[in-house]
Amino acid sequence: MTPREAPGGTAPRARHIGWLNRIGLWTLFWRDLLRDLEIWKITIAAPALQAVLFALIFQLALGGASLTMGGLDFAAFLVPGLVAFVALERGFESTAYMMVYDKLEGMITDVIGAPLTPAELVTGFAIMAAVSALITGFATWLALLPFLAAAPAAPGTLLVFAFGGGLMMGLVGLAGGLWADKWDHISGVQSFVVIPVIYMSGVFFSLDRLPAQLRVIAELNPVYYVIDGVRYGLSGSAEADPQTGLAVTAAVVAALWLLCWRLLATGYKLKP
Amino acid sequence: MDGCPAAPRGVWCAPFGATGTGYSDTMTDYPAPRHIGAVNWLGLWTLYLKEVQRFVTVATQTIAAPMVTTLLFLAVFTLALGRAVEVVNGVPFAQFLAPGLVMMAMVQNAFANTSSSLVISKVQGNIVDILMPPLSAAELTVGIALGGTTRGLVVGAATLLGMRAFITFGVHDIFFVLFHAFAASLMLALLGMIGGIWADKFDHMAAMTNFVITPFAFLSGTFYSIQRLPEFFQTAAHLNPFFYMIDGFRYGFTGVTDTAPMLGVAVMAGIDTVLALICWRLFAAGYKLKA
Repeated sequence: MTPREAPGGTAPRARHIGWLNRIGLWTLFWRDLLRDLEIWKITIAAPALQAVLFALIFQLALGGASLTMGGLDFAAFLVPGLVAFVALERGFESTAYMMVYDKLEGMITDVIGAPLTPAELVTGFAIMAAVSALITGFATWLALLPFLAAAPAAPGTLLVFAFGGGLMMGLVGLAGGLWADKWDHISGVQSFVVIPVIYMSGVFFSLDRLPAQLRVIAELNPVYYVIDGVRYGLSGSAEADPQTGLAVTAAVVAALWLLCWRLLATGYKLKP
Repeated sequence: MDGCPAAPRGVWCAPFGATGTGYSDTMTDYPAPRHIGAVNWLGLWTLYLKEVQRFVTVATQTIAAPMVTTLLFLAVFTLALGRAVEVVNGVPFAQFLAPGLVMMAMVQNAFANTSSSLVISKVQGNIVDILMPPLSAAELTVGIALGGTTRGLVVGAATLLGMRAFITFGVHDIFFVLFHAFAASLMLALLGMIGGIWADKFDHMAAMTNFVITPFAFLSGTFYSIQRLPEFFQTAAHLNPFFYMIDGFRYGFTGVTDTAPMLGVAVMAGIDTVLALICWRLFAAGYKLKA
């Protein structure tokens, strides 16, 4: 049975949407990715420059003294850490800032009014954040080539962990953005939770530098496994077992996906 | 009484065809015009308070966040490099690093305060609130600059207090500590004003912060002695005011310096004067502020 023609026969027919709204998901993904790319100076160039500055000051502060960290030369240890740090932070900012901005400007109705299920929204946002994180991470890696001129040791692993980390932080940013009522809240989450957790997860130093009690806490931290995995991908040396890291990352991403799905499905802070 | 028979007590009455003063003569308690002397102290104080309250209302973002970030830097650098770099210029690494980090936090926040104040006011249109009142260009410059300087000093004090919990450091010469804290915050507050007046949108401001202020704050000796640098860059550092403020501030704590301490004082005083004059000139000419 064909769908009934509208009277007059000229009105567009209702689009049939299958189990997955592919057009909607693709549109959501592009809309938000383009918003990040449009302000590339803030989302790509500035983080890459920040990473270069970090690499430079660590080299200068080290002043030619030799330092081995986690079995690697310090530069080979630091560069992957910086790439991971920049990518993870971008993943968080991507969804968090987008969500707070849209909520404050009232544009969020464009998203929740569209025929997209909560599952499609979470998936679209998370993939968008992960791709944004990959782009910024890649640019940062290019910018850091003068400090570590080497091809990635395990490109496949690198991509998996960078993408997984982007998904993880994108989902954290989404949950944070949904919770935040104003800019103060989201920048509070970033300054007091996200950045401290990333900094203390082995970006700049191997966990064996930490006192024993702190080390136990640090090893329970999923971000540590992401950074360690990215380091394995770029430099070929890891502290933790990459497969454990992959399992932890996948489990945390799944848990965060469910949390965000639940928040969007119940309309937490979005619908009355 | 002419022209406004029904004016309520104390309300100024417009002279609709009225003769005489234009005031309702029988009312004796309308406010007299305030006499403003050489300096509009009340206006200046109000402007300063506005600039300070702006950041105090969001203290978690403007004071606590920079403090936490700076403490993280201290932790990260000492954990990463502590074993390889034990002393710099004869000073233990943490004690060398701490004043540099405090200075970095102060200058970034002094700059952020004045630049964001002006850009937000311009974009939202409420810049007229500071252009209309009877405040001269000099009073605007002083009021806004001191607001930014206060933010720098408050962040610096908070950060120092936070660091005291983790490391110990003495004070070698309190004059250099106070002078450079004030002069550096003032310098960046003035730079933030110039930037804020020039910027047309937030992107311009973010670009200045990311591509000019942060690199200068990072690369001017916060984390290392410039004696580590190649000859050419050492010479270049002496032309960089950020170097003098960091070095002078550190000298106040550690008594160790890469240059002559009084030279730093002179350079900072000179730069602050020049920047204040530029700000005053921009306000007086109404550059990008008045049509």
